[in-house]
Amino acid sequence: MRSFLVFALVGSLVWLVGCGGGTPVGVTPITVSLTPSSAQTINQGATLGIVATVANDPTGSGVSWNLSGVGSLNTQTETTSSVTYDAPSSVTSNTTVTVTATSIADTSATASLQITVQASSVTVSLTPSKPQIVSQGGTVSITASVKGDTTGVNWSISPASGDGTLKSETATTVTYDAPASVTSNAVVTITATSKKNTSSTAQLVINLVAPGQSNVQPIAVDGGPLTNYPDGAFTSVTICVPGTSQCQTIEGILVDTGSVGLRILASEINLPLQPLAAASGGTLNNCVSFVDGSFLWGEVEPADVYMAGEVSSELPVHVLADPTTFTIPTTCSMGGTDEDNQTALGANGIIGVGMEPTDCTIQGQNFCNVPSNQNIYYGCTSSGCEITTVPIADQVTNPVDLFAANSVTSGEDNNGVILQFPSLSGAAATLDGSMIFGIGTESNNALGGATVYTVDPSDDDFTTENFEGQTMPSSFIDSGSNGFFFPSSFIVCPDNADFYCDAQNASATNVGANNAQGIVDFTIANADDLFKTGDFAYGDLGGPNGTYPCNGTGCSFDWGLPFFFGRSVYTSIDGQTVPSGQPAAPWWAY
Amino acid sequence: METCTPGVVHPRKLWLALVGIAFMMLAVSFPALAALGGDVNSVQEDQAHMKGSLQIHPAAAYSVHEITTSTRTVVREYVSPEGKVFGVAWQGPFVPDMQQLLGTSFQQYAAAVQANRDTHARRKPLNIQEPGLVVQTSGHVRAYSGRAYIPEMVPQGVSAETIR
Repeated sequence: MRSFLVFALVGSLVWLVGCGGGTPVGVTPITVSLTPSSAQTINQGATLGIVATVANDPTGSGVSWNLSGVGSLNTQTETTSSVTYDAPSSVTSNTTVTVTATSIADTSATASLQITVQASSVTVSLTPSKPQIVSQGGTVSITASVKGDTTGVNWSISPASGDGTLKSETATTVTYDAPASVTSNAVVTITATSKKNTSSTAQLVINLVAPGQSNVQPIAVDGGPLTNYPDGAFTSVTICVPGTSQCQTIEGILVDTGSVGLRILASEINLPLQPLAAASGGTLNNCVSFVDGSFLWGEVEPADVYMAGEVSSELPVHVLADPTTFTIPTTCSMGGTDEDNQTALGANGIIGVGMEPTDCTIQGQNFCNVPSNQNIYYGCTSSGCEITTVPIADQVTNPVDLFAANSVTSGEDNNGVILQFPSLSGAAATLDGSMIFGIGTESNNALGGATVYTVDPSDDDFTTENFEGQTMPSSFIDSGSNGFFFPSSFIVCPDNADFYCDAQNASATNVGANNAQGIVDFTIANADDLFKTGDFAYGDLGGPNGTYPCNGTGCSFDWGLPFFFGRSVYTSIDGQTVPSGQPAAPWWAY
Repeated sequence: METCTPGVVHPRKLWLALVGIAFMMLAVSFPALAALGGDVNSVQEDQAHMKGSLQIHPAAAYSVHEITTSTRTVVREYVSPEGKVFGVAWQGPFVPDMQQLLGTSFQQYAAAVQANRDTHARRKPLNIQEPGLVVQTSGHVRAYSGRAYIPEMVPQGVSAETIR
């Protein structure tokens, strides 16, 4: 590879010298022109379509687009011949940005357009400013404050009908009335638009919560955003700039009881979130390593997170993006695969709702508040990164751990989650389920007859035994694993060596640290055949896990997502209060 | 968990210890070698790099050098009577520095991880079985375990399953 690069470099140098500056003699150079061709001025919040024309390009490969300055280029509609520039919803003063089109065939051929984004002299703000959680029959009084004008605002609601109405409208006030009967949770947006300057707007988000649904988040095994993810449970989250109604709902988030913290691809976020500062200087960055050698990298940025009728305020979120001004430390990447993009991740993010409050703690021990060679928190500047200590409050945090009581909950649903799915044998195109927040805190999340299995405090694992004579003390339940993974004599698939192709009925015994015991019957199907169905939910998917036979510490049975089918699986969070009479968290129950 | 029985010193162990001491004495003159596939002195390099404490457990056909890092991750390095590290294993809340630990095998590991991208298997254990390198990982975030060894270097009569 290197010798090829050297050859290519030398070759292109010879070509450059031979042709005296880049364009072969007698060949008309490629040129790029833009429409509009002269500098433009647009209002804040407005958009501008730009078209590129490339002349003399026999390859017809078009242009790539680049933006220097505030706002964004709309990646949904971007092509090699056109792009839409989206100005920020508000700027504090007139701001000029530059959009550049570069010929793909000849990167020395470019054209640029200057766009001035005009700040509005009129600004609108609303009280309340933060999203409101409202149940059926509820009302919210909203007041608009307009600076720079006295004519006030016009009010609008989205969706326009079905999820409540606006009444008693004045130029500065309005009342939102929730429907008398709400059957499913919904998000409603109320917008105030300045009468004087329609580019000046402010929004209030209403989270409308149906009876008994304040803590119920829909999840689905549906293949994820790329419709290619087998046995992955996905949900959506609404994230907001802290303390505001600048919010965005992001779908395709993998539900993972085997990790902790909300991690979202930066490419999916269009909010101005701000990174935390690191104790060592620079911005606080996080690295998470998965057992398959993959890793995620990015800044830690607080956001308010809304799910169903719950809110997690100023939650430190891992915003996944490759750095542009420094390289990812090798102590993070370690030769693994970078999954900071949708293709590699197969998701738009991961919501880790596991047993710990933050991603650097295990049963009360914080590994990141003292100098050590942990490799998950770094302070980064343009000159590079160094490992940093991090207080608990700044660590990437389990969103459930921060849930506070509010008007639609009975209390704090912050001590764990229940995942529920119908049973499934064989394959199904999709499988719908629920993530229920809290354990024993509402009428719908009692422990009931579930058996509690406590875990080893050193690693949050329990023991699986009586399977092919093995005892596996590092076993665990993990919705983020997309199958049952265990050491076995089963035959691996000829097409997919990560899975078993033996069709088998089997059983194993789980044993908690509290000596609770239970036999689990499970079935493994031929994975090669399952994958040929084109479905995404498989009740019988399994694969190998380390060496076989395996006995002792480090040997594990990984009870992945299929274990959750046909069960209510409880995962409680270390340090939180659990129903009386139960062992201290963390534990699993099912 | 590997254990050793204290008290009885076999002649073989004594010999191993002498070899070990000899290597330690020579260590200053050795180039900086990384762990897997390297000489026994690379264990000290790893210990220093991981800021860990080192325990040595001699066994009949090999010795186990156990490093406990400041983050509670335990790294075990398996050393042949010839003083070569033929296997490494780790377990704990943080993945050890794979580049340091795998030494000259690191590039092969990295290439194999990059190649192992079956879109069906998303979050799953790693199982690399190649000539010259076996790497198997397991566990989950904050509870990682894994092992790596060079099959050709495992001493005769030693089962690869002991590397754990």
